[in-house]
Amino acid sequence: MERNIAYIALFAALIAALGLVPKLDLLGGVPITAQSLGVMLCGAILGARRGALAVLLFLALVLLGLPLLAGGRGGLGILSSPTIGYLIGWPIGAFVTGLIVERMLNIELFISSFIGAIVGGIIMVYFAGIIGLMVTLDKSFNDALAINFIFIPGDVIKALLTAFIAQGLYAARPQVVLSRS
Amino acid sequence: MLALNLDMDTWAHRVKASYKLSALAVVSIATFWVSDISYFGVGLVAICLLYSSLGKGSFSLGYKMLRPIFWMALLILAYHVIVGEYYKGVLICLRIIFMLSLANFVTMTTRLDDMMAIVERIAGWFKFMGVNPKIVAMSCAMVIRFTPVLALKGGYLIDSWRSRSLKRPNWRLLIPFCLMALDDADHLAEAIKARGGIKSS
Repeated sequence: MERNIAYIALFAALIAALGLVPKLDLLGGVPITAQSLGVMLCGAILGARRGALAVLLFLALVLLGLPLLAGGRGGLGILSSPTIGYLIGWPIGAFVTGLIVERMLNIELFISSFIGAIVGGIIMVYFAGIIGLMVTLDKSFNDALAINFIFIPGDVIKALLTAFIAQGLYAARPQVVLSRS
Repeated sequence: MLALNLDMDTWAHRVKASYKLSALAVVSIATFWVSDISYFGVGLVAICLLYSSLGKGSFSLGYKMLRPIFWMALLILAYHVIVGEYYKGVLICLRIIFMLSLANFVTMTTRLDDMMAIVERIAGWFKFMGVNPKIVAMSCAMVIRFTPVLALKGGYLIDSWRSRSLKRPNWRLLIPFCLMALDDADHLAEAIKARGGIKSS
């Protein structure tokens, strides 16, 4: 019980901290906000339920008015921002990422977390994000879909990094990867 | 950390948080049925009056909170100009700016404690699903406490990288960063247990 709560709280804090630390160069000198990477990591490392709860906890604090989203955004205003769909998609994405990693036990963690991050962290999040764009901007599905294409390369890189990090953590300390224990 | 709360005592701070949130919800939902620009013009003037009633500092904080959305609004407007839907573009931008500045007004004038009390109350509704409001409140407090700690430790990791390497810090730092968070979580869990633990019901 205590351990689960501590892990959920610390990973929520990790997503927040990823928005605060100076931007890291992800690949080839392209700085990308790391928060959506944090969402993928939540699912891949904590597993479906705990991962989704960590993301929900983070979002609850953002709504309460803490400026924890990248760029210091926060508060109730994000509910009416066009990007709200992506934020709703985050906990779903973390859940699906975790579910895939938990279920694909007999293949390597690197591959299962990469697949999980693609399906959960990209497909699910984009799907929710597109619905959000359709509602807030009054767009058709295809128009809203088109807006997403420029973000795909960056997010595929993040999925790859999720896989590298999950594998690295598993090698360093297997018991900390809860989705596998 | 940059605060999104206006640290003053104004009339709006004294209005109950639950009233402000309900009013915000009603207005935000209602705006989806408004498709006449002039209403939003009136709404924005009303918002300016609301902000100015708070006194000094409210406009600059309000602007700071809106700034990221201005760029998004400009892009949206540009898109609609290109496809020739001028009216719709202006309408959508005004709607977004109106709703955001109203929501930001509530955030600016509601203290974190009051918001937390609301969260605890809402969490109480879900008791039948096994949600314990006390645990929710405690988890929120832990995140607030540990976010600056993790950010600080992340900064240390970046410093130690810089002291050893000519390359810029990259994603490889994220592995020790996650390990650090996981270790902190283990210590935290032990510390909570040592102090009597969390009762799940």
